[in-house]
Order: sequence, then C-alpha cells, then structure tokens
Amino acid sequence: MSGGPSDPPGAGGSSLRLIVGLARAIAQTRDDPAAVAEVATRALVHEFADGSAVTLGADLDIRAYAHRDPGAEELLRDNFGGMPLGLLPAGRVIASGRPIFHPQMPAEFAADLSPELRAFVRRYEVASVIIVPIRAEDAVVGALSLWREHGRPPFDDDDLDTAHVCAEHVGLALEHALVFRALRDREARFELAVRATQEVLWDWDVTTHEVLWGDAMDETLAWPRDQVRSTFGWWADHIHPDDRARVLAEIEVIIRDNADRERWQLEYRFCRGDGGWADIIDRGFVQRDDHGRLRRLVGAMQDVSDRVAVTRRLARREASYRAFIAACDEAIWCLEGDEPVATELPADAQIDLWYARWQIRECNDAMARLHGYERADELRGADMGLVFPRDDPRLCELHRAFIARGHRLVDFELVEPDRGGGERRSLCSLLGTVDDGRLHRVWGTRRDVTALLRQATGLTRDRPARAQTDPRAEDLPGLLRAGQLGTWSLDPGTDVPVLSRELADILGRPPEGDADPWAAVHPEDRARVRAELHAAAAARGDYAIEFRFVRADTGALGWMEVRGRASHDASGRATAIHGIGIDITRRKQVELDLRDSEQLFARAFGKNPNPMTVNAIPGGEYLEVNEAAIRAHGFSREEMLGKSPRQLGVLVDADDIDRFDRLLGQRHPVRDLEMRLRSKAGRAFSVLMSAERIEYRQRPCVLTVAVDVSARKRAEWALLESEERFRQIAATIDEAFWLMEFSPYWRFVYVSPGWEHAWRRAPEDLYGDPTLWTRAIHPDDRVAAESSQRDLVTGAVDFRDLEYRVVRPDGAVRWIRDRGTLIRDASGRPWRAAGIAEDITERKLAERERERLVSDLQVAIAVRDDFLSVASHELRTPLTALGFHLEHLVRLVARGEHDPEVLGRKVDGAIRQIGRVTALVDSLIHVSRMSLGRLSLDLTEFDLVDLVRDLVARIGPDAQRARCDVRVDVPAELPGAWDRKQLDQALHNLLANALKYGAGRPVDVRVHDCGRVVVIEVQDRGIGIADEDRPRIFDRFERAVSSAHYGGFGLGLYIARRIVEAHGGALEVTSTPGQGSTFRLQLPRQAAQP
Amino acid sequence: MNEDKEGLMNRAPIILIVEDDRDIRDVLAEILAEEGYQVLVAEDGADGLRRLAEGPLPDLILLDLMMPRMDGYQFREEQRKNPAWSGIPLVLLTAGVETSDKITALGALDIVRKPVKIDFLLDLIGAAVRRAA
Repeated sequence: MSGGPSDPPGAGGSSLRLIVGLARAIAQTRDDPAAVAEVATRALVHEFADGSAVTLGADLDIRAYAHRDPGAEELLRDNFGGMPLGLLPAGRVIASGRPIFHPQMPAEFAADLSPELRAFVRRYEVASVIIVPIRAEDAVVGALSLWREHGRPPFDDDDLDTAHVCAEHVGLALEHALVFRALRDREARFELAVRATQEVLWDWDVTTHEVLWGDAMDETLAWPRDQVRSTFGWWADHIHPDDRARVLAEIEVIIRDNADRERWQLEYRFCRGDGGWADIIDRGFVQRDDHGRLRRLVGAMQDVSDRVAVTRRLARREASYRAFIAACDEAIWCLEGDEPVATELPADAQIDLWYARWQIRECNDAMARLHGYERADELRGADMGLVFPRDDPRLCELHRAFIARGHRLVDFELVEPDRGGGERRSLCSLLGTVDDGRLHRVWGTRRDVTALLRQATGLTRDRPARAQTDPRAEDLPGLLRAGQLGTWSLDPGTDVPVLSRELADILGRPPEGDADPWAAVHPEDRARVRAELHAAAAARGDYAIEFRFVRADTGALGWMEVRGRASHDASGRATAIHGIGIDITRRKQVELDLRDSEQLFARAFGKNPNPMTVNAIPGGEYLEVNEAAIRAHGFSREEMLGKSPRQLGVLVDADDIDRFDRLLGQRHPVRDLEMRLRSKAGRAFSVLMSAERIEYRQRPCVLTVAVDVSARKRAEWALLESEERFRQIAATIDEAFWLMEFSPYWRFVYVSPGWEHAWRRAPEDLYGDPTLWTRAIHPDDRVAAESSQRDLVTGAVDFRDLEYRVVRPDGAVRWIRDRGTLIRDASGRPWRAAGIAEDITERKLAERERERLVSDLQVAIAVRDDFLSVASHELRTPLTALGFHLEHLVRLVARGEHDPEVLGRKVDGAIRQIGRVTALVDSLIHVSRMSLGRLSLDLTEFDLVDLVRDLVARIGPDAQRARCDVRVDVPAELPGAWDRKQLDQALHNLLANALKYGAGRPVDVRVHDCGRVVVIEVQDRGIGIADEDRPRIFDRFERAVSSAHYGGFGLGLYIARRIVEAHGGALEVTSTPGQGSTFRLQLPRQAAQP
Repeated sequence: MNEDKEGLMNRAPIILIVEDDRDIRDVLAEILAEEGYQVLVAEDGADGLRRLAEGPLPDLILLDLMMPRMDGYQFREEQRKNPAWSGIPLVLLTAGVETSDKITALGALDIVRKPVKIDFLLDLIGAAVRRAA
C-alpha cells in the first residue's frame, strides 16, 4: 500500500509480502472461517508492524468480517453508513473534499454520501477510506476496510488495487476452508457408507449434529430405515432409561478428553425396533481436527444380548449355589490352597501339605457355629488348622480315610468330646477335586447327629437295635424342633402312621386325633411313598424317601425326607417302620432352581450363536463345546473333546497361547480378550473371548464365549486406514499428487508431500497462493505452463501432459512432468482437475545424454561417409593418372616412338602414381593401427635439426609445386631421444598441410631448444582455421574446410597429434582466418615409451 | 576423325580440361594433343572460368568435380549463367561417389568415372565433338 509519505522505497515489495503472509496465515487456520478472518487481520497488522513498513500499522485499521458471522452485517452497517452487505462498494472516500468514488461504486452511493458515512468520517477524522468487499462463493461475506488519518496523503488507486487483492485472498481462503472441510467429510463418510457390517456403524458429525447410521440398523436392531432419525437425540432417547444418564455422562467425558483417533467403549441397553432391549457394546473413536477440536464421533454398535444373557444365567446359578450353602443346616466348607497337592504322595505327606498351604476358602454359618464362631466370614481365609487341629487323632483318621478312599468319603462318623464333658457325634462327608493327579480342593459337609443318635438310636444305621424308643418321648421335642424334624412310626398291619408332635407341626397336622395322616402326603406321591416303605420293610433295609406334603392348615406345599428302618420280629415279619421326617423344602427348592438353571444354561450354551466351550483347568482340554464352536473351529465334537486348544492348533500365536493359559488360572471373570484363532481348515479369525470359572461335572472349568470379530475388525481397520492409506501413499512416493478446484478461482485443494521433494517448497503455501505454482516455473516455460493451465481451467482440454522446469528457492532447476485430468461436474462444466507432477530431471538428463550420443554418432557416421567418399576420390585419382601414363606409353610405343627420354618420362609418371597410392594406403594403415592403440615408439638418439633439414629438402618438389617458399630457422644441433620415423611422419604431415592450405605464401619452420623441452613451429600464411573448427581438426577424418577443395584423407593432423602425444608432447594451433595458422609442437627432450 | 573436324570447322576442335590433379591433366592434354585436338588446361574451376573468358571458346569441356578453391559444380553454375558459354557441351570426369541426382542436374553430355580407359574416353570425346558440330 504505497502512498504514505513515510513509506519506505520498497513499499510495493512489502505489499507483496503482506499478501503472501496473509495467504500463509490463512492456510494454517483454514478449517475455521472465523479464525481465518481474525488471523487475516492480525497478519496484515503484523506485516506492517515489522521494521520495514512500520508506519502503516499505526494509521491502518483493517477489518475482515467473518463468514457466517451473524453480527457481520450489523457491524458493517454501523461502521459504513448503512450500506447493505450485498451492495458494499469498492470505493474511495475523501473526507475533506468532495467524495470521489470508484467507477464501480453503485449510483445510489455516488449520488450522495450517506449521513452515517459522513458521521463516520468525522468521528474518526479520517483522510480517506477504502472499503473492499470480501467475496466467497459468489456472495459478499464481509469487508476489508482501511482508513487513514488526517495529515496523511489520501489513499490512491494503487492502494485500492492492493486492498482488492487482499480481500480476494481472504475470500479465497474462506472458500478454500469450506471446500476443504466439505471434501474431507464427504470422503470420510463415503468410506463409512461402503462398509456395512453386521454391526451398526454410526458417524456423528458434531458440527452438523447429524448422525449417519449404517445399514445394519435394520438387520441387527430391527429398525426399519425410515424410522431411524439422523440425530444424536434419537439415539439418546432409545438408550435404556437406567443406562441413559451414565452413557451420556461417559460420552461427555470422551468428547472432552479423548485424543484424535483414541478408542472408546460403551456398554448399554438399546431399544430394538421391535420393542425389545438389546445389550450393546459400542466401540469407536473420535476424530479431531488439527487444532484438537472435535470433528466427529464414529462408532460401531454390537449386539451382545446373547452373551449377556448367558452371563446373567451363570450369575443366577452362582447365586443359587451360594444361597443353598448359606441356608444349609449342615456345616459346609471348602479347603483350597495356592497349589494343588499331588495325590501320589503318601497320605501323611499330603495332609502335611494341606495344613502348610491350604486355607478355608468357603464355609457357611452352620460351619462357623459348629466351631464356636458366629459368622462364616470369621473363618473364611483362615488356616485349616484353626478348626481342624492337626494333632486331633480323629481328624487324622478322617483325612487318611478320605485319601484312602480315593478322595471321596461319605458320612464318616466323628466323635469328639463336647464342652459338657459328653461326646459330640457328627457325620462328615468329604469330596475332593482331583485333576491331572493333583488334589485341587476339598469340599466338606458335617452334620451334628449327637442328639439324633442319643434320642433316636434305632433310626441310625449303626444302632438299629435301639429303635424301640417311643417317638413321643417327652425330652425330645425341643431338640427335634431345633432340627426341623420329627419322628414317626407305622404299623404295617394298620398302615396308619403315628406322627410325633414335632412332625405334625411341620406337616401342619392336628397334634392329636389325626384321622388320616396320609393326607399330609401329596396325592401324587402317596402311592409311591407307601409302596417304597413297604418294599423297604420287606427288604429289611434302610429307607430314605422324598415326597411332597401339603400343609393341612395353610395348604402350602413342602418337601420332606423320611428315613429310617423297619423292626422285625423273630419270624422276620415287619412289626414297625420307624423313622424321622425332615423338612427339606428349602433345600429342594434350591435344587429345583438349580435344575432349572442347569437347563437354562444348557439351552443357552447349546443354542448360543457364539462359540462357547467349557475347558478344564489347568490343561484347557475341551469338556464341552456348543454347535457354534464346532462350526467356527471346523472340528467335530469328538475331535475337540479331551483335547486342548493348543493340541488342536486352534491357538497359533505364542502370545495368545500365553493369554489362554493365564485365562485358565484366572479366578475372576475375563471380558473381551482379543485373540486370533485358527480353524481346522486354516482360516484365521479374530475373536473377543470372555471367560468365567465354573464347576462342571465336579471339576473346576472355564466357560468361554468367543465372539467372532473378524468382520468387525476388518471394517474398523479399513475405516481407520482408509484415510491414512491415501496419505501414506501420497507421502511415500516422490511424485506429487495434486487436486485443484476451479470455481470461482482455480486453486489447489490438496497437494501431497511429494511436492516438497521436487519443488523444495511447502505444499501448504500453495493452498493460500496458487500463483506460487506459476511463479516457481522457469521463465522460459512459464508461458506454456500458463497456457496449459488456462486450457484445463476453461475446459478446452480434458487432459494435459506438460513438461516444464521449476526453479527451486536455492536456484536449482528441476524438470517436472505434470499430467492432469479434468473432472467435470454433472452439467459438464470443468469442476476439478487431479494430477501427478513428477520430477523427471534425471530422465531428462539421460535423454539429453542419449540425444548427444545419437548426434555424436550421426556426426561420426557422416564423417565416415565423407571419408569414404574422399578416400575413393583420393585413391582413384592416382590410379587414373597411372592408367593414363601406361596407356599413353603403349600408344607411343605402338606409334614407333623410341625416344628413351619421352618413354622414361611416362614410366616416371607411372611410378610416381604408385608412390602416391602407397603413401595413401600407408597412412590408412597407420591410422587404423593408432586407433587400435598400437602406437609404440622406436626410440633412438638423433639430431632433430638434421631431421628437419632432411624433411624440408625432401618436400622441396611439393613446395615448388605449391609455389611456397619454405624457410627454416633452427639451432646448430638439437639431439634427443625420439622415434625418428614417427616424428618424421608428424612433421611431414604438418608441413604438407601448410603447403596445402598455405595459398602459395611462405611457410616458416622454426625449432627452439627450451632445455628439457623442444618446440617446433610450422607457420603458414594461408586461409587459417575458424575458431569453431579448431577443436576438431585433430580428430580423425576431420578437416576444417570442405573436402571438395583439398586433397588427402583429413588424417594428417590426427596422425601428427597421436605421434606427438605418444612422445609425451602436445600439439597446439593458433590461427586467424585469412592470415594463416601456426602449429606448435612440444616434445620432451628425452621421450619415453608411452 | 580428322576429316570430320576439318570438314565441319576447318580447324582442330578445342578441348578445355578442368582438372586439379596435375598428373592426370598433363597426360590427358598430351594424349589429346597427339589426337589432333587443341587443348586448353585449367587447374580448378576458377582457372577454367578464366580460360573461358580469355578465349578461344572450347568445343567441349572435360570437367573434374572435386577441386580446391572452386569445384566443378560451381564452375558449371557459372558457365550456365553466361549465354556465350552455356551451350558448350560438357563431359564429366569424376573420381568421387557423388549421388547421381546431383550429377544429372549438371546436364552433362556424358559422365565418366575415374579410372577410365583412354580409348573409351577418346571415343566419347570424338562422338561428342561430332554431335556438337
């Protein structure tokens, strides 16, 4: 912006810098139009605030108003006198005088200066104002304003032009920003759209609040496409109300904290299109722009309902177990340690190890009470010695019996002294879990039967004889009630049971006068119970029968177990059937629950669409596999059972084998472990494996569920990589990809890093300033490049293939091949162009080299052809003369001519021709020998002066014929070591040349003694040699002038040069055309063999 | 042949030899003179033109092509420019391997490649002189 009095002389240059700086600044913030305008303003001020143009900063107020800024119009109106944004003029106002408007100013503003504008001019005391509209997408979107205070010369037309250029750049940058963003979004969404998987992919553009849903929404979640709304709100509304607040809070955190591309995972229930709830695992990543602002949230919803259902059922079963254990009247405990105990050890060694290593892992309250504690928690984790003293001989017996019977012991009777000085009797059962020859844990139960044994001795198998006791004995009731049992007896003869009061209570019968105690038994079980009792009595065995009962008072259903034995008389007839009845309702319910749960589990397991397996611990052998697992692995059930995944080759990666082993040792449930498996056919697939420890067939096992995620992994990877792939390709190749758009100005929207490679300029610079492209081109190629660009932009051509040179900032020149293809929009107008610019400098150089070689070759061929023609001429000439001489001789003799002088002349002439032919042939042989590098020297000591004098004498007749006077200037003598014959040849050639081209003028031969070097000069005063011919006259078959004029092969100088060089000397020539040449021959005094 | 020449012109036919090689030129001049021709010699094109200018005009020109200073082509060009000389028949005597097109364009009566038998050359000259007469 020139025009200010204090502008430095280079103000024009600073304007340019301003534009470039502006463009660069804009390019850096191109994603955000508001930031563009802000930075544009800052850049302007900054440029003018730096030393070179400091004065402009103070009196310039440059404002750019943002695109989409709702306040822009208002601001413009306030500042620029009510001018509507759309009509913003490009003009100049001078406050002090009459307003002068730019020709483009609309008439309504030219007619009168609006009062607001006048007020503005007065208020700010400005001398002149430039207001320039900023256009983008063919609309005015803002304004660039510059004003200057009083006391400064007003702006002039140059300033206006500069302001226009600035505004144009701001507009261009704004436009570029929008186009670039749209382009990127479009591409990314396209990638999403094409990758429809079973999972519901979704893409939430946070700037538009639009959510794009993948096709699987229909298939997986039963949502018809037309019912799915593309909003974030719709999604949030369909999250289960119990999960919604949590999920939204998690999303907020993700949006706030996740880095670009960082993965996240959410779990929630989502409403299906058919009204059900689906358990969803939603995984994805966030995408941020270069400034860390959130751009998109991309995810994939996976329906994991099946898996969750199984997990819940398992949990329910676990709960049932626990409830049973907790509620059980018997003491129950479990002993387990970090290390299993080998079963092949001697029994006592095994027992020692238990005591050393094992703890009470699990027990119930009944167990605690049995040992004088209140709650099970107090015992859990305690050493087993706490409740099972190591030195107790009975316990020792118990444990030995347990080991001796194969780690399974039922109803072992323990007798211990109790606190009252009596004895306590209990029945103890132990069950060990043995696997792979090692005992992993022991479950134990213990039932205190002291009272029973004492009061109902006849009912125990050990003391059947004492069963005569009256069941209604007065001292029993308290005990029996506490044990939830009662006694009864039956006379087989009457078939009427007699119930104790306690039993009647349990069954809800009247305590006295029960007419029909059988009514207590559920009608469906009555016959069976009766039959079993009689059968037991007949067989003289113990009985234990379970049946349902119906309480007479409440009608409630319960379960009872009766057990006992019959008494027989001497004849063996059953006299009475005694027994105890125990209320087992609670236990039975738990058992039934368990059975239901087992069935549910079996169904969930068998029918589950995901591969599920039960694997043994610790080996990992398959104990059970479902249909999906069989399908996924490709093995038959028989092939899989009993083999471990490792044995089957299902696990391939060492890492995964490790992970699986760890998983087997894990006590806690494991979720979504990523693993790669291989089927029998060799197909590799990725799964997310979840595992949970369960008890299966009395063995500790791991239940695994694998979800095949191969398809999803592929989609995820593809999604992640799709953008990267293009960038990587673009980044790794040397060629530069470029993509340009034409409307409304042509400019680059993408240039790959390869650009930098060839241009040594940052591709980003091009975004802000497309003219950088042309400016970097070599001036000689620029016109062609610009014309080609014009053709592309106007659509005159659809393809360009252009070669041009670019000048790098360091001045180096590179050749570029730039190929571009025009892309037209739907209406056929040129829309974009895409292409590749490659650095072909090396190729170009090689081409040049090849061209040079071809040209050299062509010259060589021409020289050879010329030589052949000359050689032919040269050889034919003496042969013709020879023929004529001989034929003439014949004619003379035939005519009777006998004059010996006449005949002798003819013969002499003939002999001379033979000499000429011989000399020609000799020189040819000489040359061919030299060109084969066979020039060897026959060095002798001789006087060079002698040689020169001899040569000049011999060439005398030729000199005479050429009418040249040969003058000699030599020292007295000049001995040295050279090849005399060769040197003679070289000097002869030089002299012959001088005579040939000497134009009949005197030729000088001079010899100088220069110590270790001798110099011989041959100077003629003939036609001379042109400068451009001088370098080549020493080559083979070369001559400076047309061969038509001078005889000889053109080999003379070549031969001379080779001979001199073989001597270690040099042959040079100085010449002035028209005045003659001087050949200067330098030789070492003592030549050596080359 | 002497009869013919005398009958036609009452003088010996004049032959101009333009040839740079002295041996060929001298021996040819000697032979032609012995055959009764009046012989003019020139050692290159320029010399030939000088001979034509000095006169007398020859009845036939024997022209070599490759010569220093001024070659046969240039000589022929100059000869054709002068109406007084352009009608003089020309026999080319060349040792080169020039392309026939270029030579044909010279409009020579005959083209003889060196080396050549002297008898053949003499027959050719004799016929050419007779035809010109």
